[in-house]
Amino acid sequence: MSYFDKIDDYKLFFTFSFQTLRKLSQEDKELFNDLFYNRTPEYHRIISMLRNIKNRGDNILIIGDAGVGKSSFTYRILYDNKLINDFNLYPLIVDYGDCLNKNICLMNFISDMERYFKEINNPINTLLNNTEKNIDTNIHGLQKHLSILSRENLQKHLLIFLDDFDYLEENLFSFLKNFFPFASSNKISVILSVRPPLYSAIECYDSRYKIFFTSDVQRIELQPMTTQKLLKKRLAVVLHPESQNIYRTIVSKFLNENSVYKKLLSIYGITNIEQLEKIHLPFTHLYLNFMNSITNGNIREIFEIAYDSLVYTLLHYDDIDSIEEDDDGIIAPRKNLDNKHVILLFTENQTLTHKDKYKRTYRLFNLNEFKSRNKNSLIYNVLEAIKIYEYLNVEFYESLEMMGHSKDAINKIVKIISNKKNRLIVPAKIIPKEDRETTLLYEHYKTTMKGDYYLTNIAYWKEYIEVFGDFGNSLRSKII
Amino acid sequence: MIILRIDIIEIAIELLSDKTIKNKLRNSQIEKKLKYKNPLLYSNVSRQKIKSEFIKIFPIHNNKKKRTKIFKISKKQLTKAIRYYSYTIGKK
Repeated sequence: MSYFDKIDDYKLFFTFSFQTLRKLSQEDKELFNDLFYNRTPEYHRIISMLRNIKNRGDNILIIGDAGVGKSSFTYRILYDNKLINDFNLYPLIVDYGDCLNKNICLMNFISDMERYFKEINNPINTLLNNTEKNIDTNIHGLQKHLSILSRENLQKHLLIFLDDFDYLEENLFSFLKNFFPFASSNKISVILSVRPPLYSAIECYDSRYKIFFTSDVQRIELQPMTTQKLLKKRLAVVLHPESQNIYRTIVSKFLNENSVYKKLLSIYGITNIEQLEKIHLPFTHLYLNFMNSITNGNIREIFEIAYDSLVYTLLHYDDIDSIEEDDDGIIAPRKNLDNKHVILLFTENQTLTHKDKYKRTYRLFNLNEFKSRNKNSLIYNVLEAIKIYEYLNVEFYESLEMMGHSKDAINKIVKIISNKKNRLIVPAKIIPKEDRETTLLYEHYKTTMKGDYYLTNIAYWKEYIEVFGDFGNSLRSKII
Repeated sequence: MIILRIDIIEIAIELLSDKTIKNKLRNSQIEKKLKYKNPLLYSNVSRQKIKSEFIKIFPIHNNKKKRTKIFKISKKQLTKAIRYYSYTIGKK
């Protein structure tokens, strides 16, 4: 059985169903609620917070790692019209991820606020033209107008959502300064969603920001979700009984009875949603564990891996072993994807056959790219050294030089590690020497834990060593 | 009120960096600056409150007088204050 001819159609389906939830539900907001998975306890908590928010004027902080679903969690509240009307709220969104430009973001915010004042019959007349030059004066004007208005005149309680501020990096505090007066007021509540590194940056910066954005706030922490059910939920698009009404305008061709997408799921023995709930998809528990640990629960990356591996199973359907029926309620035939396939899939060293000539969205990092004369892996040792010494001090360099690495090479690797594009390694940050005596990497290493997961996982993979070769000696053996 | 104290320090840093201005500040001047900085938080701030916080940062004899409206600021006191509140003021 070969699905090679129709692979482009399958890819279309996978890319469609593994989009971000907001993009997927751009035309249909009902779809958002249908596909939103889990997070019920957190959702009930935020509802109880919003119930009393008008009296207290508290700010809310949402913490979660990259790709855990912070944005979709906040949009879940925004799309809930009933909740917003019941609690008498007026949400305003400042999404830096949408504009990627500070000025455009602020200009949109000013026009939104102006519209709100018109709606409550207290229009603001002091604003200048909404251009880049007048941003500072306009924002000050808004703050002054708000300070004059009493709570009764405001009618609704303003909720400002600050989302995707992680992309700002160095410009964060100059941008957050504009929203600081709003956060300090009782008349307005600010909901800020942050990743752990940004959270620690705010904590360290200034006690004013610390009070109003991180410490004196109601907080919600989002944990990583179970991947298997999440994947099923996304693939259920085709099988959903109500989907025919929802998707008619968007993807009518996915819904034909003879469509390739329905056939695809029937390969795994699935014809309706009940069966989909029972089946384990083509992924074994080990494989799912790999997805969770290597990506640190980042849903975007999990979807990328799932996309690649589903396409891979279709291309190599006959070559991969299938698992027989179990007592767990698995329907069969299930394909056994394990670590061996992971390495075949996500490494660049492999020889490409005619079937494999498509670009993979995900890639494993090669730890043995740089080696010393003693054949010790440089990246592996540097990651270990960060964990042991925490700072780039004299001991850090000395111990690595003992392993046979030169100082220039070490500095080169530290730069690679600190580069955010290499998402499989530690997203560390180098602080210039003027500010502190030694450069600190461990804070970011500790907050994300990504490098740690990577090291622990890979050290036990025989298959990884077979492809890339041995890492050489561990740094710890030398120290002892 | 630590927030007010940090804001006063920031105003003093700005003024001392400007060489054309003498190192004297009127109470109303500080009030104006604070209200421009954060109109929502300092809409009802009293001059008495400003004075009480100002004395803690710049404990100069003349500032402590009962009827004084003009405060003195000095670089020495400011550097002391920054060092004392250094954990609160972020990197500039």
